[in-house]
Amino acid sequence: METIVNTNRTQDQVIKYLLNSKKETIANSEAFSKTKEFQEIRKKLKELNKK
Amino acid sequence: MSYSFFFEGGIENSYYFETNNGIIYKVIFKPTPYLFGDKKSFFSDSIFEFSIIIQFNPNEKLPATDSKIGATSAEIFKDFYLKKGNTITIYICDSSDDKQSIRKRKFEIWFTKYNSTDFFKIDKVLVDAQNNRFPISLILNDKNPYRNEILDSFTKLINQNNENK
Repeated sequence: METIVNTNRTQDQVIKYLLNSKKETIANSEAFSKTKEFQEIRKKLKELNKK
Repeated sequence: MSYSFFFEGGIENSYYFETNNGIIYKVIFKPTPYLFGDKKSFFSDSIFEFSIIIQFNPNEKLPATDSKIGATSAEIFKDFYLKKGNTITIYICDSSDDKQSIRKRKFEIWFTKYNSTDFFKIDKVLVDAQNNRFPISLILNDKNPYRNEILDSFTKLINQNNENK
């Protein structure tokens, strides 16, 4: 992902940076739902909610 | 009353909880050290972007309201600040479905309802070249030792460009 390190950024650059970051987060989450790691998370939540 | 949650950690500092309807939410604090543009700032490593994401939904639709979600998010927020007291949280609403105003309003309600004056919030609006407006909030612990410097950097970041529009 693009990182912005120039101190003289425009708001457009800041917006782009933050929205791209958000987009990337959502895309990663969608992919994560299909992994074995996520199944482990579901198991942990089931255990947690049994208590 | 809130849902039970746990901290999974990782690069995004993820938390998870599951609602009564089987919906799994992920709350993350994603490191965002470049926001103020100065990699070497003494508080850049404390900047995190907050997001709450539906990780799994077994239902076709979302329930209309579930007050426990806000309460749980607030508990998670407090837990993360207990882990990292000098955290600076940035919240910008997802605008991909044009529901950023609704999200912003909900976040505002949660903050007002659950904040016990430990946290300080400043709200601004970013405006892009097409004049689209993006509400953005910055939240920090009221006792953050760099509070003035952080607020100054944030305000400058917003205002320096708004003056040109």
